[in-house]
Amino acid sequence: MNIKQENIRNFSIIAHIDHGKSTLSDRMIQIAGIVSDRDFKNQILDTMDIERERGITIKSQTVSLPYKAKDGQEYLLNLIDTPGHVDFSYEVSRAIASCEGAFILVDASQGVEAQTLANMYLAMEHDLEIIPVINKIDLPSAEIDWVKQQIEKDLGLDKKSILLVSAKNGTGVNDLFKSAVENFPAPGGDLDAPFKALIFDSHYDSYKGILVHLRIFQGSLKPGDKIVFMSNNSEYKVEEVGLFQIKRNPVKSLQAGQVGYMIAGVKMISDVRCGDTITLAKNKNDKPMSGFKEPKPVVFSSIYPVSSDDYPELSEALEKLKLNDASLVFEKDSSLALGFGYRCGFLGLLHLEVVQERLEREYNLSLILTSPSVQYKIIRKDGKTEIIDNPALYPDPMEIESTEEPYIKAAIIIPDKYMGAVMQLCMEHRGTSTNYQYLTNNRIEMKFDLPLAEVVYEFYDRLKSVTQGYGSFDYEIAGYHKTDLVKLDFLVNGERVDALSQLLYRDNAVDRGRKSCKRLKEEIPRQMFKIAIQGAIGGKIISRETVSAYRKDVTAKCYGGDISRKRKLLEKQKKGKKRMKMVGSVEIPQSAFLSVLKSGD
Amino acid sequence: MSNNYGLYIHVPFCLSKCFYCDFYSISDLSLKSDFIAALLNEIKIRADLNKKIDTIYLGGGTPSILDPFEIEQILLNIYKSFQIVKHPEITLEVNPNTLKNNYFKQIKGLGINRLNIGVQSFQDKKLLFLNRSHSSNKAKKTILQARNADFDNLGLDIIYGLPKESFETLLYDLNKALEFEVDHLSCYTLTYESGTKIYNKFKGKNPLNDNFISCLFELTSKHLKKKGYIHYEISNFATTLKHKSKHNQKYWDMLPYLGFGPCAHSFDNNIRFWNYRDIKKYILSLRKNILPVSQKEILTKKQKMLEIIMLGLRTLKGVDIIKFENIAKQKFAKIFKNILKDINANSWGTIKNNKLVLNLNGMVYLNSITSCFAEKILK
Repeated sequence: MNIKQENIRNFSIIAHIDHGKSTLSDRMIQIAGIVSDRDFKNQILDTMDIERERGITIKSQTVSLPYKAKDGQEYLLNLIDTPGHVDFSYEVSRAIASCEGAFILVDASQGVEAQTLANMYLAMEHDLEIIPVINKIDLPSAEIDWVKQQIEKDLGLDKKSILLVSAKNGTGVNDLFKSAVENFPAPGGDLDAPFKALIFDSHYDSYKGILVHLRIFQGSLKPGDKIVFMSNNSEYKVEEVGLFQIKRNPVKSLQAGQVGYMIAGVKMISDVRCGDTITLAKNKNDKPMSGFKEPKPVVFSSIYPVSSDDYPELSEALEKLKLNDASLVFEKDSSLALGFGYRCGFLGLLHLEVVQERLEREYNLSLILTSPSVQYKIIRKDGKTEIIDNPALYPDPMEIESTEEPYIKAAIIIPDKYMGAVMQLCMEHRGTSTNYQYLTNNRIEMKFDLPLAEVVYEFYDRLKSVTQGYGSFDYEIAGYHKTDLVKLDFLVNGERVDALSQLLYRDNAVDRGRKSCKRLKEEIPRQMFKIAIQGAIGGKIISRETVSAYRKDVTAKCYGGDISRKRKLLEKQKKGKKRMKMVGSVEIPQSAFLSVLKSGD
Repeated sequence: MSNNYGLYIHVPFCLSKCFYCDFYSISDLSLKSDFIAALLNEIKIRADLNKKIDTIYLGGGTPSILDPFEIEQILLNIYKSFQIVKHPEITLEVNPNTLKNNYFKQIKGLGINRLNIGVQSFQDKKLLFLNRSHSSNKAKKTILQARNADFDNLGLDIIYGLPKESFETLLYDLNKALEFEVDHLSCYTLTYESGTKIYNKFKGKNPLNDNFISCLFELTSKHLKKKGYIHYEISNFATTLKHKSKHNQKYWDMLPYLGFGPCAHSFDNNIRFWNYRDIKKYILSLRKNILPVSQKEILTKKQKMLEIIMLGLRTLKGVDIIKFENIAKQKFAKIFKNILKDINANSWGTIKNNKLVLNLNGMVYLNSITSCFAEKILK
């Protein structure tokens, strides 16, 4: 396929979670006809099991859609799908940097949300052409005029440019193709200049090795070319270039303006860095292009294999995952209770859960994650300041002059009837309201300063629940404030389990200690002896629970002659314990380590 | 101890599938005659006149879907192929949705002397939740017709522990069952078995907690004992020892049994095997005169020890310590010293005449206690 540069369009769809982005992408892919109906499945760009199961997009994916305009011209529309959850806004920024245009998608019954705003600003910073799209117009609860008004007022976009679609039944989707061709600029870039491209993603394919996802800004690339990654000067020979059309579609060459992939026998995963510039080897002294901002992890947790023999596998899996998830950072760590592992940084708690699930599913590992923490500033009496995110490194309280914790500036958009509930929620999380403004006559944007530690756990879920799903939330990191920090420890049968320790605000500690002991009691299965679970601050015990060796749990079940089944259950139970960690003489299951964080009763 | 065999026939047809049931059954009745031909052939191939049979059990599925002449055919072939003792126990499981006039009188004439009716509940709401395809009225009619046919060994199945179960709804079902003065009651707790509708609906998690279910169990036992029933196995109650299910007792005593039909299990000494859980495979295999065995296991020493404990703890007879020690070649009291200490300290049971028997206080901890034994054995 040889498409002229002026017939290429690179764009993404920006939307809040649940506004129907993946469904719309599905529909566009179907209409473009690059997948036979037989092979089609919903959420086709969401290739990970977790994405389909949770109905969310985590990874940006790219797909090149052929489109024949009415005038007979052939176009290639590169759609770069983006995630919607607040944890993954970093992925969105990478996608946006590779585009010239964006459809901003708004749900016809939900209206504009905090993240829609945040992502639109991001798109505007990159000078993207923006076209508003109202989706789900088929819903009985659709309020198209109201949403049109919001788009004009809140987003400042022209009402006349709004497209109306129903991704579900396909209404108006054809207009999107037409609009993309007419309104989004064709990518620039000198075709005859020396080759230069930006890496925006990469992933590992078990047959082909590492696939580098790139956007070409000038020149062209073909198999046989010798290229160099500018950040580390590593040289490779290109084996294959191509387009993403759900499957890899190899082409003879990729030109300036195009989005595609390159296979170049890259063996060292660490050689590939998102945001890096690629040039031809002979031009390696050229100036690199400005890349993307490094993502900043805000939540930290240690990952340990349940079986210490799996440590090498964990190391390899993290390396491979890093290739596909540039926002993941990690370094070696060790624990008395759990042995060798890694201290990892995440963009948020959902990101943490996704990494855990991917490691377990895609790499078949059994893992334990320790209590997530933010980065605290410790100012010692001798004047030295250090940043710690690991409770194990918390110094002797006698040596501490003061402590500080990171804060965020949060923007929450809600229908105004939830104002009281949201105020209450933020106060409970030590927030202070800084400002609010009406966006329309009953929608309000509230701003809060909140400690980051308060929002990493269940804040988003709680916000959704107190606003019956109408609240949306976005935040940015906003420096450190003084705090009163303590370290909460847990003892199981008198033995301190370092992996359960957590750093937290003093006033929350007693309550957390009490609830966590209760949860641990539920999570630690009955064993052949009594188990005492205690919470402690410094040397002082603040809570205690006991797991009895037995509990009432009779099942009067009929097995008929199939006795083997019941016996196998008992045998399996014993095997199931292999997923637990021995701490002293007590077996603690994976789930216990995360359970201590849940705040609800 | 008798060395007689039990004989089980699995009839894999049901008019509709209950949402909780994971026994093998299909609702396409068009294969019925092919199934019977295959079953008769299986009986013929496995015929052994040296084997003495004293219990026959037609289960399923819904064996009462069979016409009397079909049951006659099956029984005749069994009698031809094995040595049947005088006065065997012959049970038929009955689903109220198959109720037909005169049915019970006809099958009584064939020698069936024990009926077990799958009532499950006398409350239509519960029946609806379970997707039983009969009403409580139809269940009552079925029981009365069975009584009219002069069956003097009549049993009912009751299921409890549904998501909205309360002490009141449980007592209602128990009292209704008692009104009919049945000889035998099987009271099962609802379990969420993978692959069933309710498993999927509740994502495999019972909405009731273990503690509450155990309380329902305790109430069932106390209430029925007060009304004169013997609680002789975890889910089974009988008016007298004579009315126990002799056939089921074989499972719990690890006595030999022969299973025929798809998915039926057979057991003899150390060997357990079972047929294909697929009626088409079952039929095709027997057409070629090949036994439709899907899998076979030879119990290891540890597995045998585990089964003796796991089954024994469920029964009023208790764990046979001599039998256990003959296999383990070790002293029971020594292996399980700590658990026995706990059982004794909590008054959960006693050892008498070389039998470890749990009382009701211990029974409510049955899974915990069994797991403790299992852990010791499997270590």
